[in-house]
Amino acid sequence: MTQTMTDARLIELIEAWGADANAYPESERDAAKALLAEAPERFAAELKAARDMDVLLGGMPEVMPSAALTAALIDSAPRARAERRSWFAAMPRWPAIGALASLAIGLAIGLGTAQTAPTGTTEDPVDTLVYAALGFDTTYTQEAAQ
Amino acid sequence: MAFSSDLDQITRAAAGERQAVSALVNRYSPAVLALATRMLGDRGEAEDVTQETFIRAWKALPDWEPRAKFSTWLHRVALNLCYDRLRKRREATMAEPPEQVDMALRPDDALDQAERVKAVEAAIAALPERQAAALTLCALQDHSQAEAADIMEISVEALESLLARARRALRAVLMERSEA
Repeated sequence: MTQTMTDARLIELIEAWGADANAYPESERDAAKALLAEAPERFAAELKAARDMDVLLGGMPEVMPSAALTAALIDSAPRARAERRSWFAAMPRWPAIGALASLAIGLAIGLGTAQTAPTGTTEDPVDTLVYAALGFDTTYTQEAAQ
Repeated sequence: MAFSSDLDQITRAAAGERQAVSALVNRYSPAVLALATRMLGDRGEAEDVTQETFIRAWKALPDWEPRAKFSTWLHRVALNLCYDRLRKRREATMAEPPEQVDMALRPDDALDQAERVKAVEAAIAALPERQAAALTLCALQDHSQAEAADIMEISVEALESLLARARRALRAVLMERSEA
């Protein structure tokens, strides 16, 4: 869409968008360029002021996040379940190690006590059968009974 | 295309994929931080706003609707957080006036570049918040007119008006300081 450009409207564009006509709204850009080309001296003061401001703003340095901020932003994101599992897996296994140690100590004490405890005899065949069904070695008790 | 690429990364980031999360952070955090820095004139506060913006983004990702543009949404969140902080500053009873920095607008002035940058930053941060936002989005960042207007939830005509007033006010402030 081509619009008729007036001096007043062109000054508004310069004051808002700066000295570069390529920054003007697309619908008015061509008309603005045409008027600027036709009578540049009429807008010299506005263009100069706008250009100074453009240079000033264009010279502003970029703001870049520090590595620490970037890391914090990434860390603040939720993690996938698999990653949560691997994080858990990486934790020290002290509870499991403790349980295993307790079991080992219990077995050692139990075996030591069993060796010193008086051995009873199981003469009853029903008892023998029950013990055998429970997985105990009944040959010892059977031999003792003989 | 950036939009479909965004969508793909958003989907993967929502699933917790670190590579996608990093890509979103690397792509958008500089612009969000820059916007907050220009608006607030304080790097520490700007970093806080950036963190809060991304925390909100991570929460929003699982329910993300493709019709919204992630970049626009992210900038809008950051901008609203900046507005909140500026509002709180105004409400603070013990507020002190901002530091006055000498400034010359003329490019050939001997003013040190670092001082010039500092002065312009201070002058932008001292503008009315919507003018500062318009100026930052349009003149300091590479947003199109439509995108900047969308972020600010205003029309392009309203954006143009804010921008003209911002440039005029900035020029007046800087000229006044250079003449003082």
